[in-house]
Amino acid sequence: MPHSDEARKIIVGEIAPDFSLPDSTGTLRQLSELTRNSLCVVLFYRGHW
Amino acid sequence: MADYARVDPEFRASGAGVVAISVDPPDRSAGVRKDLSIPFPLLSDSNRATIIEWGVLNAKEKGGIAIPSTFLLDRERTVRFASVEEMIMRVEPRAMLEVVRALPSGAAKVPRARGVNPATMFLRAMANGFRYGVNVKNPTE
Repeated sequence: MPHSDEARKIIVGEIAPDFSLPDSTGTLRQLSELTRNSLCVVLFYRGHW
Repeated sequence: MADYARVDPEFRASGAGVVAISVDPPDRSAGVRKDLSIPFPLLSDSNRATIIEWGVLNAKEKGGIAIPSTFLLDRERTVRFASVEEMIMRVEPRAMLEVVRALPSGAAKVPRARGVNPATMFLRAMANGFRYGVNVKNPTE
């Protein structure tokens, strides 16, 4: 059963949306900075919440 | 994620950084990072904006958490590999490392099949994806 968020799935070949998220020290990390000088593996994980 | 932590030096040596994102708040991530000796940043998407924008929200659990998923971006932020809950487990880091190493030449090496296991199946699918431009899709769709 598809749900609403599936429409926005990121696919190969598209430009990933940029983000700016705090790391574990609270420092904001921007994706476009992380990819400036290297490839970037982005993992999403469930977390302990 | 501890598995990616162990392979992190090899990702770096191959020209790739790693970041991991969850709904955990930064203080929680700090604990996880320390406990599992994770060298890469753990980013906090508490309001789930990025998780939703990337289409990896599992809305059914715990008020909304990320679906385990793996992306590889190049320097232009182009998605070169995407796997959203492709396997029961996350993409194994050494398989991911092969994707990274395949990128500069633009040709993925196809590893020899050593029996049927998820990593081999994954590598095969991945190599085909690179060859034929077939996107890795969620089989549950």
